[in-house]
Amino acid sequence: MLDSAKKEFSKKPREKYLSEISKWENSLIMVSEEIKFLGKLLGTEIFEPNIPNLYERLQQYSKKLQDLKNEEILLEKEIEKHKTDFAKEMEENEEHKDSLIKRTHIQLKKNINAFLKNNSGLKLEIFNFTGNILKKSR
Amino acid sequence: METSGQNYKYVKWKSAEEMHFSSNQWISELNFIKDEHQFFEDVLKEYTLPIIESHLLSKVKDIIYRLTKYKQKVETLLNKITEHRNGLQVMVDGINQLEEENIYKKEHRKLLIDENQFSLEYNDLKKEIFETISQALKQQKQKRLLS
Repeated sequence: MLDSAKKEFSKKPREKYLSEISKWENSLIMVSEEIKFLGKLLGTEIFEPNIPNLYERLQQYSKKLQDLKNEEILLEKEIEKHKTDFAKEMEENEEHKDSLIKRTHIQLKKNINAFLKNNSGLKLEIFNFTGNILKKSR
Repeated sequence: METSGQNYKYVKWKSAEEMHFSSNQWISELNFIKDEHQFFEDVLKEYTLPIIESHLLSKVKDIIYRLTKYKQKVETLLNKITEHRNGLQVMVDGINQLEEENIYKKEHRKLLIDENQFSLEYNDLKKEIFETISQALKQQKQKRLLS
């Protein structure tokens, strides 16, 4: 294969990878905003007070949100590193590194999908619990 | 966010499996958004006193109106994507139908653009909701501290 053709060949999937990376970054920014908002919401007096174990439940959710936030920060760092490696690899264009980066990309994708799934599960739990006990305006 | 500048040409390298996965992922995200809508509506409609007191009522009315619009958009997009996913047969039946397969990929690309555009707009609305509710809660807290 000619060099230019080889470069073109490996360039094609890269567009897909870069687009995925950009989507992950946007998703994590949004998740971070959501965690911040939900944390704030759980900490305010907007729920009916006479709910059994209300305080404990709210504490539990706050803790889970904090854990999720920590996980999100780690993923952000991993993406940043992956992006740097990706950019370097694009300049150097070495085949052995290429496959290593693809493997990292696939693993990262799995981790991010699992994280987003956990995040949705927790949000749904919080919506279901708090949605029913909101203090009604009288 | 930069998705509006992308042209998503890479869709032509997506395999049938990847397209199926993406369609399922979009469907799951949109179904989740329906639950999220309900929650936001509950908060905005039920916890009205601080909102009224914070003079945010017209803002909240506008948000609720837009949420209702988005509900319709979600349903339309869900129907389109479900139909698209169910039409995947053309890509995996082993028959060489180049034209139909290209049409399918074009449709997938169009849905990818629509879905990304929807996400961008919806996320902007969510940020507005977070900001508005946070503002109402903050003012309520300040009021309580002063009284």
